[in-house]
Amino acid sequence: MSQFAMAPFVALSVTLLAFSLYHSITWFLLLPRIQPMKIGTVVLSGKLALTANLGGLVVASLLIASLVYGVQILSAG
Amino acid sequence: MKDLKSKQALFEALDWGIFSIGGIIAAFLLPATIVVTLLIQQPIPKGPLANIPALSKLYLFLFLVGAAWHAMHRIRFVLYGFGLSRYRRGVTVATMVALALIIVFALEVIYSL
Repeated sequence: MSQFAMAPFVALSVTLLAFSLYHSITWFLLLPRIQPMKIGTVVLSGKLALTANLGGLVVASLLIASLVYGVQILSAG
Repeated sequence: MKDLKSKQALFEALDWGIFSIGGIIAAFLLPATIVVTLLIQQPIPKGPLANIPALSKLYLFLFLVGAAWHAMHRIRFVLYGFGLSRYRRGVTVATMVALALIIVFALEVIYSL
């Protein structure tokens, strides 16, 4: 147990996490409005941009985890 | 006068540029960073960050300054929306001073690592 592991601190952290995830989702919803992606004449939908960016969020999070804890946790070795 | 206008345009371009970079940094890196630094809090074992202190300092610098810049930019425009758009200069100065204090604090944290 770390020195910060107290209920109010955990509650604060979870609240911060919720707001940061809310920011991520609203930001990913905003991106296709700023820069609509086109392939030929087809404009890709905002839902696709949201999905792709959420995938990017997962990749970035795994990258941070591997940077902090080492690559072995990703290959479960 | 033209010189002042071009300076203002440069500031606006930099401001919005760093704002959007900060938004991307916050959107992609903030959740994982909160989980790692606030919720898990395990001492970093033999991760690459522990071996390359410069990398963690660079990460913290880009992360903290980018996210803080993004946040203060949004707060500035929220204040305009609340009817302070008549005091643009004052609001800009106040948010920039707050941002500078946050950046100084971040640099102090990074320097202390």
